Amino acid sequence: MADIADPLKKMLMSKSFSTDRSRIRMFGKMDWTLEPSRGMAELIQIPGEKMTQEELFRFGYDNGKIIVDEIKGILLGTEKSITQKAINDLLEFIGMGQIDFIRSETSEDGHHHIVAHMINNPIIEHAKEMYGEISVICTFLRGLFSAHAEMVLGLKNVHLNELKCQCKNQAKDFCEWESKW
Amino acid sequence: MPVISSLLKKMIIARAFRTEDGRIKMFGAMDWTLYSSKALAHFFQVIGDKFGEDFLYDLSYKNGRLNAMEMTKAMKIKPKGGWTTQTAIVSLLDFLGYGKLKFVKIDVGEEGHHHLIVHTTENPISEHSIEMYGKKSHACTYWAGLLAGHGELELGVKNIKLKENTCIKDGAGYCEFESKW
Repeated sequence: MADIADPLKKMLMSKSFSTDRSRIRMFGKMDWTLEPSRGMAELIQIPGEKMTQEELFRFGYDNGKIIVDEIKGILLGTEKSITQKAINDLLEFIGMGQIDFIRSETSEDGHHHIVAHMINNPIIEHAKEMYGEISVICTFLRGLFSAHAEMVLGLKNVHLNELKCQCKNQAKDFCEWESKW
Repeated sequence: MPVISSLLKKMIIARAFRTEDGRIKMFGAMDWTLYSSKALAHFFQVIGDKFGEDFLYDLSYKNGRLNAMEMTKAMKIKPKGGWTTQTAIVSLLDFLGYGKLKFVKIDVGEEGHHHLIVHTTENPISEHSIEMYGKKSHACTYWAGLLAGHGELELGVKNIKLKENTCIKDGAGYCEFESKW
């Protein structure tokens, strides 16, 4: 497995994102758009309220797959994986908070038991402020990060379930997610 | 009406966006997130497919208004219509990675009456959407709603309903949106 955390951090922070023909590009290839975090919360909540939990999770998962496939294709090709630290550095850079792994037991065949805290995510924080306990943001994000965990950490059948949610005041400033397979 | 286009352009491009504690902030107040343009294309396609184009337009219109209100708050400007100019809007969208916007016609009369025609090019969300979904792409419906929501607040017009006259998915060199009231 190639460890690209240090060069990734340096490159991300300084050079890998550039503007090119009115576009924001990572490594000159992957397009990114700056979105207001509060606006993202609304974009997820309004249609999300009309979906079942499983539909919304799947929506987030499919969306996450698109992102990670793009990143992998650009950075390392398809046969290597990216470290947790590298992904956390990227998440921090793009303003998506951080994931702290409280528990991370994984094996080569993809079996795992992971417990993670999602912290400092502005989309979740705005969702809490706007929607409180009826926020469905975390369902979408759990799907998104489940896809990330599968592809980035080489796991299988990741389905992040919610143990604690800050929108429901079950934790002060983090959401706790778990997957076990 | 304050003319802030020059100030806005300089500040936004150079200083207004900063990273603080793992977050991207505009003027130290408004949270932003970098999101994959291809994933956003997927996001809007799923919503359009599931809930219809009217729903998607209304959602993005509402989102445009929310984002515009947040920006006026972050910039400490009174949220009344017409606080900015087309130059400022074009510069901001360019910086956010939304591609190029050109006002072909911008007549604003009393009480919000207007005739607007805009051309958009190099929008990565639209381009990825058309690449993935072809003529079934909903990207421009989202884009029209978003621009309408922003336009009402930022240009001081009323009852914007942007309709698409030409689209790159049909082979045109740009997407043309028009509203007349």
